[in-house]
Amino acid sequence: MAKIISENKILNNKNLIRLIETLIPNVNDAPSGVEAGVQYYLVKALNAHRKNILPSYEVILKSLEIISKEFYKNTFWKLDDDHAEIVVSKVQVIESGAFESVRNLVFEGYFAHPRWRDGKGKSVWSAIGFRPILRNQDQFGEI
Amino acid sequence: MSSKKFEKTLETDVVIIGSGAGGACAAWGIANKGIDTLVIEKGDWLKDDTYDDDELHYYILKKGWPSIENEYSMADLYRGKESKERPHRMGQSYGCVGGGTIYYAGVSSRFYREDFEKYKIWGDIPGANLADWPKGFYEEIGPYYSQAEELIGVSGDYSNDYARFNQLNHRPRLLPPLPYHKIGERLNDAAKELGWNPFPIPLALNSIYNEKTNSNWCISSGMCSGYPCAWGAKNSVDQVVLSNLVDKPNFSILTNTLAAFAETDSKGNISGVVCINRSSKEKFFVKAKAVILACSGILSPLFCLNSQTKQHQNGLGNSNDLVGRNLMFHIEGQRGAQFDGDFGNEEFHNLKKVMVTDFYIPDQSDEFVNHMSIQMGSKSGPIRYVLSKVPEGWGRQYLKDMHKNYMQYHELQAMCEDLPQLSNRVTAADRKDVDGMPVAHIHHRFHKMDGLAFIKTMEKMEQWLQAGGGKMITGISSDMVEWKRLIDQGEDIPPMRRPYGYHLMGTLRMGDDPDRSVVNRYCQFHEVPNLFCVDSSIFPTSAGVNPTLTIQANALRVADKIINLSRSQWK
Ligand SMILES: Cc1cc2nc3c(=O)[nH]c(=O)nc-3n(C[C@H](O)[C@H](O)[C@H](O)COP(=O)(O)OP(=O)(O)OC[C@H]3O[C@@H](n4cnc5c(N)ncnc54)[C@H](O)[C@@H]3O)c2cc1C
Ligand code: SF4
Repeated sequence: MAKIISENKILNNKNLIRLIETLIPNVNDAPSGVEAGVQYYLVKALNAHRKNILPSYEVILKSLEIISKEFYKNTFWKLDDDHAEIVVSKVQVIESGAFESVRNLVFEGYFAHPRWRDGKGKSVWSAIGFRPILRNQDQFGEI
Repeated sequence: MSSKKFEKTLETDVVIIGSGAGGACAAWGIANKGIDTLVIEKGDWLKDDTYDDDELHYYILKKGWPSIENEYSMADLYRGKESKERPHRMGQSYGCVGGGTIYYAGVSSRFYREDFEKYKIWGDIPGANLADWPKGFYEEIGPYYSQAEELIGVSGDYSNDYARFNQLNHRPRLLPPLPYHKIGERLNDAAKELGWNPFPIPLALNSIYNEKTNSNWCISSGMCSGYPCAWGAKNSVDQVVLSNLVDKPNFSILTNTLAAFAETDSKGNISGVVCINRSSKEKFFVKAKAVILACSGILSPLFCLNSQTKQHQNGLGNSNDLVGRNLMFHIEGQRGAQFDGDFGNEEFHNLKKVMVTDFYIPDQSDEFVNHMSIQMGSKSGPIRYVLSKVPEGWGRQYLKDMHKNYMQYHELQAMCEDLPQLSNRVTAADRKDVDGMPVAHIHHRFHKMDGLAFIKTMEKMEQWLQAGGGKMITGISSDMVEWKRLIDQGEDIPPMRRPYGYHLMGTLRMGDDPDRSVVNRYCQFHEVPNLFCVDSSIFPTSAGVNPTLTIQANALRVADKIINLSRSQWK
């Protein structure tokens, strides 16, 4: 069956990658959202159990670009960290419902079992002290 | 319908429908006495390699769980009207070998003596339909509690459960309790400071290596309630009961097979069960001398209602229209808090460690008659934590706080009795499930006293969390604020907005009087002598602790009764 949204469209979307990195930056020793492979989760989720979030996802990406251009005359992914955070905060206010859905989706992907992120994000759980039992421990390395 | 219609017919002494807590224990008691026993289970054996701590898979997308839309329809009764039908989390049970015990948290409490004498103690309560368990039930089930604890492998220690310990008529046979870990110690001390008597929750999890079942001890890993144990330390009945029966020549289990309805003979006895192979859709007939229902508190009455025969036109054993009534769920709810302090990197995610029953029996000032206990709760996995406990926020500071806060967040869980009501019931819906059988239609509303008892439990939980140093206490839901307001105004309480009910009880009431109950003290249908039930459908009242150990002990008790019957009537 044809994908609702293609892998390319997600993985190569620089504004999306910047958004994930802004929502979940690298702190303490934990990987950032992008290092954890949240974008791979989005490919799976938006084509399946979270396809209802697709409209919100599109609204947010559009708003990020509009606000970014309006305030900083630049495309969103090129902004520095501080400016990116300001733009995301504004989008959060203007598109609160859609923002919440997308924010939740990104965090859901971050903390999901690594198999949902194509095995990436090995140290996500240990950063918060969570130590689950995984069957295929070797496949996912030290988590 | 006649069995002659089916090409394939099997024959056995006893058919048990459902392989969960009750079905497995009944099978143990019966098959071990050499009687031909066939278990019919609509689900499959879960494969070991599907066990994993995958929160998204098991808990959020509910992949391991049956599709509720396929099994139930639900109508809330409120102010005499039924709200729009909607799928509902209330009334879940699992469709696999082992049933709910694969996914349960393992809390294995005995009931108190007072739980069996509800009507005797409290009398008539307007709007409720209280009843006593049959006379002498507490004494009779005592030895079976011990047997079930040993068979299943329950860890714990009742010696500080002052009220219960003094009344125990049969000594528990328990493995040592699981360690409390730091947060357990903290809450244990806090409860003592409040003058309460905390004690370890009896759990069907191994505290030590279990020689009998050759299984691991619990390492208090990540996810327990709602997940199969990937470590093999949870004593689900597929592991500790059924896997020890499968090699017996007189025992067999048919999986992926739905028991659709029963047929009866001219005397109204069951002649057998019509089954559907859920893969091939082939229908076949299983002829049996006795049938035991163990489908859960919702699906057992549904089976009776779906079995309308010439002799039982209203459904099996339902001439008094009591089948499906008095449905109870318990009211469960969590309250959590952030605790300062270093909990280290301890493995303590399964926090079902300490419980209190000090206000189990209501006192003079309470305006309700419900029993209640409070347990430490399991920790939610990180996804549910980040989506529901700290739902707003993102970015650097948020993540820093989140990393710290997750380890310091702990929850308590309320286990509150709900009262039986005739209007809370299961009926057969017009809608059909994937196998072509009517789904269960659930009508349910809590009693005003349930609301009051729940509010008190939630207040006690706050007191406990605060005494332990908990801050930012969560869990007073908008439901309760609304409930309180309505109760103060003398109004009915509405359905909970986000209810869930894992304990399904009451729908085939046990009692001595055939006009007021469905099964007798041996869980034998008054109107169908070769039909029995061993799940929590038979509970006349629900008690303020979890039901499964009582289901298991009772199933062992009923099995003994059936053995006696078989000796006198079948040979
Ligand atoms: C997340 C969770 C946590 C829980 N924690 C606890 C706890 O800590 N302590 C506790 O006491 N209880 C707990 N419970 C509840 C516990 O699981 C149930 O009380 C217990 O499993 C009920 O046993 P049962 O034999 O009545 O039914 P089940 O265990 O549900 O078994 C019924 C079986 O019958 C099968 N079946 C149904 N209809 C048919 C049919 N027509 N044909 C063939 N097969 C059929 C089902 O597939 C199922 O396998 C929990 C439940 C859940 C969901
Ligand atoms: S807490 Fe214990 S029994 Fe539960 S899943 Fe973890 S290891 Fe298994």
